[in-house]
Amino acid sequence: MELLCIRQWISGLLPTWLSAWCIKPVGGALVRQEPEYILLALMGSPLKKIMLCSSEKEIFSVEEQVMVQHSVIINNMIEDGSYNHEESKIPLDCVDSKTLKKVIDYCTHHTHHHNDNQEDLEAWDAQFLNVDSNGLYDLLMAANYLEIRNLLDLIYGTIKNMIKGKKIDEIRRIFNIKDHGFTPEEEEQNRKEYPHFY
Amino acid sequence: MELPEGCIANIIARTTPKDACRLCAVSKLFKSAADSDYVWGRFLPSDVVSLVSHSQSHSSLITLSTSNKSLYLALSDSPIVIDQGKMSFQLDKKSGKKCYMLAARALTIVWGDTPRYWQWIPLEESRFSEVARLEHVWWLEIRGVLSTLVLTPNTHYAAYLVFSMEEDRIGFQDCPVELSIGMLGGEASTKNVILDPESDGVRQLPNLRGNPWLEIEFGVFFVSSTEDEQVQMSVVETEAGVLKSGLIIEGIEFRPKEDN
Repeated sequence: MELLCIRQWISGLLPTWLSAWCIKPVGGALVRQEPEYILLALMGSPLKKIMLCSSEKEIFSVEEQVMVQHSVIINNMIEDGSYNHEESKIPLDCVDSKTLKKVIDYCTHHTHHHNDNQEDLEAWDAQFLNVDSNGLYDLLMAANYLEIRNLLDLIYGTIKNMIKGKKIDEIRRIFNIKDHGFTPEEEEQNRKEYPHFY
Repeated sequence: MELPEGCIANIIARTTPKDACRLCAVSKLFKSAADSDYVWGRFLPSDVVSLVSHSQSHSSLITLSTSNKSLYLALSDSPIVIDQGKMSFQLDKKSGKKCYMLAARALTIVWGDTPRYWQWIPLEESRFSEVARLEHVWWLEIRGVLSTLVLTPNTHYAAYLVFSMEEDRIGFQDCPVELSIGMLGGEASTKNVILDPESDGVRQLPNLRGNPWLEIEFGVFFVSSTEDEQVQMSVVETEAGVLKSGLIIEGIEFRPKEDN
């Protein structure tokens, strides 16, 4: 209740054109930016950083705004107060350092370059995803865990293009599927019925 | 690389219904993802529940369908009649885009209410309860209009006149008929065609679409977004003074143009 009053008071201090500007994207939706952050930014306060800890116990410092804009999980942690700025780091036990660095790269680039034209962003994304299939898998798992909508869409789209028009045997190779799980009879039946798939 | 089923489903949902059926053969996990309600829910139009429940004949299709996949296949295999028998709805099998047919009753047929010129008869081969049968006219004028809101956005559509010819038809073999299509308030494109499939000559003829029906394309148009635009079609022959008879109109169909 107190915080609400303070926020309203600060909102009142801001010129209306700036208040209208107070919108930020979070996980794909647009959310009103807290006016106190705008005011702090205007007053020249340094950009808040948060600490992310990879599975290899390496610490990465990154702008809070960057991660909050992209990762629904991190945004929720900050909003519900479970993250303590003074002493906490967010442990990400299922993301290794190499992948975490890439994820941070992606989020940082897209926050700072969100006004770039579509072509440039797409070119950067294509270059970003120019990794081997293990790297792609790791990125997908990290984006899935952190719930980074636009990165997920990008990776899903890329994988979809990888399998488009490919034969079944090739798709199995791409996904490293050693055991397809069908009985020999089922597999034979499929191959007989749809020989052009294989 | 062991992708969880949810991720596989997300990838498959971005392909096509045809691909989803094919990807069932990759592995048991792929099959489970490819058959999931999540994937086929993405292929179905978002308003499918309200569309189907407004069908007199098929309102129970939703509850009877055991899965989104079976609902999709049912809707793409055969049309359902909606809007008090004035329209039919179907899904284009390959793409899942919406197809509609305006019944003859939903069109404006000049002299259509005068029995000595046009009659309304039931026909077993029609999806609708009645079709319009031409007794005879000199003045042939049929008009139809459709709101693009019902169609799938970002799609090129073509409109087709769906009709049949009786054995003893007259007046259509040599006399061209003008087809026209355009958006309300915009320019219309017109062309002259021959409706009688057994005619010689250079003009465009109709195609067979499933006995006894023929179809001929009015033209194409693009449904851009969710703006409510009206697309208008007309079939006109009023100049030649030729007596025409033996035409049966089922309706005007709208379906996605190939290679969308």
